[in-house]
Amino acid sequence: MCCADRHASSERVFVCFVWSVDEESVADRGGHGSSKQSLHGPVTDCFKSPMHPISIAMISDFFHPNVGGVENHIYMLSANLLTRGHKVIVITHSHKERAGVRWLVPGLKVYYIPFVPIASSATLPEFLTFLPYLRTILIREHIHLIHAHASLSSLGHEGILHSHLLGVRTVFTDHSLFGFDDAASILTNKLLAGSLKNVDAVICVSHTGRENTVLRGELYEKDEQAPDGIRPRDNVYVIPNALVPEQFLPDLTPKPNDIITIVFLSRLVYRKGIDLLVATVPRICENFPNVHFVIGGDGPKLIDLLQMREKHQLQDRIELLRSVPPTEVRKVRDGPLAASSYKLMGLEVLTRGSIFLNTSLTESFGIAILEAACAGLYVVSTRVGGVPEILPEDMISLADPNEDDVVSAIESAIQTITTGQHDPLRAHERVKRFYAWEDVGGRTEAVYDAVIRSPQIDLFTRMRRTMELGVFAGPIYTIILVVECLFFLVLEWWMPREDMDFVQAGWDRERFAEVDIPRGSGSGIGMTLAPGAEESSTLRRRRINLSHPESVG
Amino acid sequence: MYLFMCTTNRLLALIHHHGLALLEGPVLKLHGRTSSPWWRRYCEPADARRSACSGSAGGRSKTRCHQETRNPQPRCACTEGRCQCIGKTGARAAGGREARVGLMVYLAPCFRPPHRMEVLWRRHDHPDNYFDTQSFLFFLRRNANFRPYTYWPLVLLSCAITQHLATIFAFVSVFVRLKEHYLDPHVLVWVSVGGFFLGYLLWELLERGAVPQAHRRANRVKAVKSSILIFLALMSLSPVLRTLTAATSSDSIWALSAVLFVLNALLADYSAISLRGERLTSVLSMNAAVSASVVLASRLSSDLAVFALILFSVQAFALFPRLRRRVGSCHFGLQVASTIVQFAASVIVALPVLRPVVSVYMVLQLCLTFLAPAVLVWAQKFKNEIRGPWDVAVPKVNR
Repeated sequence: MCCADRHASSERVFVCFVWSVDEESVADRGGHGSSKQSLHGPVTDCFKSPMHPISIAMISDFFHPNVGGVENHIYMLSANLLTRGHKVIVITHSHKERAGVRWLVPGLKVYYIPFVPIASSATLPEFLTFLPYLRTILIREHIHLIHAHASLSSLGHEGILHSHLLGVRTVFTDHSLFGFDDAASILTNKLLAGSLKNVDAVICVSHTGRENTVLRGELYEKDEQAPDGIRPRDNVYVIPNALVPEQFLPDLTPKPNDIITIVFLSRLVYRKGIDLLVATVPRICENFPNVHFVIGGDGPKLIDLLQMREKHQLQDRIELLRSVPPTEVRKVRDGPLAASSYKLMGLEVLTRGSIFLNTSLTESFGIAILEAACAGLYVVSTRVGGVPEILPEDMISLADPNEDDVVSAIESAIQTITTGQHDPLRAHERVKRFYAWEDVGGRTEAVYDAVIRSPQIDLFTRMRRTMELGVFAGPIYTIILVVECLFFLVLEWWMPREDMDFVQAGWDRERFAEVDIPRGSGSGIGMTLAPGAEESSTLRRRRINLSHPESVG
Repeated sequence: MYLFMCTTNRLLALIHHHGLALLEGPVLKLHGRTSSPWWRRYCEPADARRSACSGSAGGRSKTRCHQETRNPQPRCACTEGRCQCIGKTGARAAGGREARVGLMVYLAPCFRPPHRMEVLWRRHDHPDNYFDTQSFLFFLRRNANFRPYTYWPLVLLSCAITQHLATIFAFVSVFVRLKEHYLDPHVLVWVSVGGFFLGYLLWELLERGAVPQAHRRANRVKAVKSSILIFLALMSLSPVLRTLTAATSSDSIWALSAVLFVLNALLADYSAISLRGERLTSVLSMNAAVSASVVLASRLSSDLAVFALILFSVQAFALFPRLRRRVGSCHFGLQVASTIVQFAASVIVALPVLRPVVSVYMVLQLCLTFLAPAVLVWAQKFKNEIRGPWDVAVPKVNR
């Protein structure tokens, strides 16, 4: 029991956003549902023709307790699929104290596999070690489809490689952009191409992301008619990310007219264009005496900002917010600080400003920009990656990544704000209409449906496709494929599936409510894991089974 | 206005098929009123700054095509790399839409399309796996910064490598001569000293125009001091150096010196322009060569021979490469001449003692000088550098 209590307390930090999210989704199902659906055209269609409920396993190295864009995406998508009646589990690697099986609020079961991450929370690509765990989990949970996330997650790639052994279908979501011209990219791209040769469907978060993934993962056929002689496969989809608009309500209390606050929130690293920020801020401060900056985040480039502030004596006009709990900063993996991180910072930074500045040098989707726009801020951003796709031109000022252009974009943004052309409430309503998790869930479900209906790729085709990878990579991957099949046969003999105990029951919201820990007043803290006395022993037994697959049965 | 543009664009589409080199001429003749081409007058006031930075990966406006037509690369660079937008334009023009496409390409900065066809925020009717042939991979650029090599400049560049290998080979021959007592160490010492003075004279002559008088005088004093120091230090150390690795077997010495010479050849600085400071690799390269000679010195019989060899190695590997680079950067004729002289010298030095190796050496050198550049020129057709909006942009900051 003491063990369970400790888990519950360690999870409180995460819960503050988990719980509020969950309430929203429940609200959607309940009374407000009908009014919401009328807002989203395609959503109603999805509700009209729901697919047959299936069991889905999300596999990624990046998941709670880490914080970031991918982590948040997986959680939100899973929560949404749960409300659609599917069964969803998440498989990720373990963290220090967090190994085994855990449950998150809307009834999301998470398997933490005892693998050690090597760098940035990614595990080593081992190709075969994951198979015993994966086989046990997929069989026990009756999984129909796995959904791997993020191209640097080797767990996801291994999941895609192994799933065909059990007849489980595969979907992959790519969240990031990569180049083609450095050694690291060449290697990871080959790795990606190897696992995507036989995937059933690929989802990208933006059109730019799709172009990138199609080229990196070699997801195309040669076609003379198509531009560049490249025709992407039919199974590559574009489904954007989304956000929970209710978490980003604009602050409607009147702000002082004479002061304009520009907010910048990001990790302070080179890729986020801190050099541009350092160059532009003094120029803006010089040209506009009524502009203040709030810069939040931490990272190696902080020292540049401090120097700039010192040199130009702008201490009273540039506020640097570093009061981010160190543990959380470390966990923010990639992408600008996402929703969860703002909340974790305990700072309602966004709503203090009227302009949001983003100087990233590469961005696949730019969820932070959306969040800012949703909170009623006018956005100034560099024109990189998928950023130009996400907002209509009157809500965002785009600049090329050079100092003069960024300055002129900020100037025009200040002009827009001072002349009152930007209405925060209208911006919020618009973003709410553009991006909704219900919509994303429906579109993802359509992909699942198409995948389930499509014929399974047989082993011979797999081997043939894998051999197409190249003179060196092809045979290597084919050998891995064959060895994996043999290993699977060994596992079938060693741990026969007749001896496994299958999962019959799970937690849902009602059962959570029965054992609910009283929530802190106003803080929105709920619980994620509090197995009741009668449940804990079962859970613990399952955990043991998981960490030692050979002992199953 | 529209008709005017249509006709101009038809003309431009025609010009496209005949290469961009013609572009400036006819257009200027057509609009002879101003000195600047007509599209500049349209575009620059509107958006000159944006087009100026379109080289960065982030520049997503169609200005990129515009700029590349405006500054055509050297003719050979255009063939494939001239931005596939142009190629695309050609293909689309064939479909009878030249007017519109031409407008897009040439007037994009001022008549920029309101948004990209593909946006995420607008609800669309087509399924999520639909891809639009017009916009898919529109911003893909293949071999954007591609500067193709031509054969003879490459041969000239490879002369630096030929010279360096010649130096190594000559050094090895000198060692063999010393070891086999074909060469009197006294002669080698005098040759080294004479070579030093000759080289220094040449260096002074070359420095004359480049470096101010006072600076040169200071350098001269420094050079004299350090050369005397090295001379004396080597002389006093030569007995130590002779016995330093005497206990090691000869096989290990040959292997070790071979590895060190390979390292020296790999890390040497072959760049034509001498950089301000020495790079770490070139310093490592020099050290490898001197270590190799120290290791080899233990196989010699007399202290004087050791002194002569080390002195020669310092000349050949520390001082001579600098002079060589200096000479090479003066004039390409000088570079060719010095390459031939060095190659011939190395062969002559080696011929009596290393007869069987000389033919292999000559074939190797000829391959390096003439065949390797040809292979590189041939291999360029496989180059496929992909650039697109996904690349990390390079921020441009005015300093």
